[in-house]
Amino acid sequence: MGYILLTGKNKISLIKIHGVTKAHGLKDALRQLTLNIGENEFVIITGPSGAGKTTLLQLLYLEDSLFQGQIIIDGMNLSKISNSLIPHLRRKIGVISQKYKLIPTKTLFENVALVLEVIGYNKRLRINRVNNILKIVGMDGKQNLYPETISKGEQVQVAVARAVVANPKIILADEPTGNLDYESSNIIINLLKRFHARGATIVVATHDRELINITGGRIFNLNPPP
Amino acid sequence: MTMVLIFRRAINKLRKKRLLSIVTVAIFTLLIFFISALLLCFINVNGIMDSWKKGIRLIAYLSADSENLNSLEMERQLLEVYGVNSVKFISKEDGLSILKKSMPGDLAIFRILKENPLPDTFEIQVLASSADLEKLKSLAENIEKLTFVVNVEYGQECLVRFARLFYFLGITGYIFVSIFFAGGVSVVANFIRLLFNADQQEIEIMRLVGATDGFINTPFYILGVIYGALCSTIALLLVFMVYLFFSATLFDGLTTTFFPIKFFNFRFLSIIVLCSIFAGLLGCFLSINALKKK
Repeated sequence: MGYILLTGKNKISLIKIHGVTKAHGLKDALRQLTLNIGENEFVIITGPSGAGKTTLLQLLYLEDSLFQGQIIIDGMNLSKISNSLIPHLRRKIGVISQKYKLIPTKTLFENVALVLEVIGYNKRLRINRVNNILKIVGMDGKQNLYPETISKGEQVQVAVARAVVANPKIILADEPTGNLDYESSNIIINLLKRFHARGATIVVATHDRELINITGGRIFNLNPPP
Repeated sequence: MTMVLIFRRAINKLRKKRLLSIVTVAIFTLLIFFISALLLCFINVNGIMDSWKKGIRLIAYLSADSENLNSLEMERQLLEVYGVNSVKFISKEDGLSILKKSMPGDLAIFRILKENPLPDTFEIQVLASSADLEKLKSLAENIEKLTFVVNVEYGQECLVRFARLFYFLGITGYIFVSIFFAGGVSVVANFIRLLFNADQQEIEIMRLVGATDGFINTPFYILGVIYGALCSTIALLLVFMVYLFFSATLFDGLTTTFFPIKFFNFRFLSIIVLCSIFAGLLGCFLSINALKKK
């Protein structure tokens, strides 16, 4: 038996996952997963370690593209997507990964601005937008610092800034509060809620009870396949 | 605007790997220098060949009964043969006198001669377009068909040797140019591969935020162009300096008297720069393609 969770009432499906199975070697990480996520939903994927939370998020932005079943994001069928369209899919999605993935040789400003460079924003717009978003996430005045010189909590804040700077439709966050203290976790949770309020669809993979309770999002419990 | 950004990213990559960049520039420059120097030698040898060809003369030996013929009529017939530029009649007396002058000392052989053994001859200057071995052979055969000509000489053996030497030099030149070109491509390819590997984390993150292959790869191709243009410019300057040095010392006087030692004209300079840029681009292409397959 797989998991079936349909989208909430009056929501247009932005992400449709149907019968998705993903194997890691001989073991299934996901089995026959079905899940619909509507526009501007806040969905929390929870479950024990090894349940496939990270794998599911990786499939959504095609960091891992080998799976069975069907995933449709904003009308794009990921099982049939051509290589040339993958960048366009990824531009619809802001990702906050578990390891933050900031470039150590670039300043915080450059790390965030990279997303806008990729899309083709001009210099003036990049500067305005990045400074603004860094201010929103509480990193104002730290633009010229390097990732290694700031705390883990601040690194997540920068990762959040990078994920939202181009106003993506979807924000995927993998354990965004993992290993953070209470105060830093609160900052991140509030930021996610803020961007949700602005219209983004948020999908968070976590086993942080605090995050699950505070956000009030739809909870999807993922269990490891037997 | 985007091009400025991509160009800046390319320059930043160079800055990040300064030492590696310098080593690559040095090696690539050296290879282009060797190729250019070889080409310059080849062009000049070709020039020498051309000068030499311009001086090629055939000697048509006339039959004994040609003494009764009008030399102007023979001259006219010779000039009608395709490939003949001009002719000059040399009587057997003049021939003997030239021979005596060319031999040092008072040789006894000339004293014991009762009569002049030399025939009348025509010295024939050929058109530059007919001055290769095959055409000379055909020209000589056509001249020999004339009734008053018994034999035609044009230094066949020497010409064959020279043609072979030139052919050998040409083949050797092509081989060396190909090897150096392949070396240049390989140097750039390795440099790009190292840069690509060093930027692996950055590239992976770029892909995750939606960067296209074009966005990621273009700076590397721009580096290929920069390397090609920069290294070929330095190499050509070095070749020019070497050329000036040799012109001013070793070839002084000799060059103006016999054959001009030339430097590349603008067309050749452009070809060398463009080929170097092509080598840089090819190196990038091969490197990025190989990395993609991994």
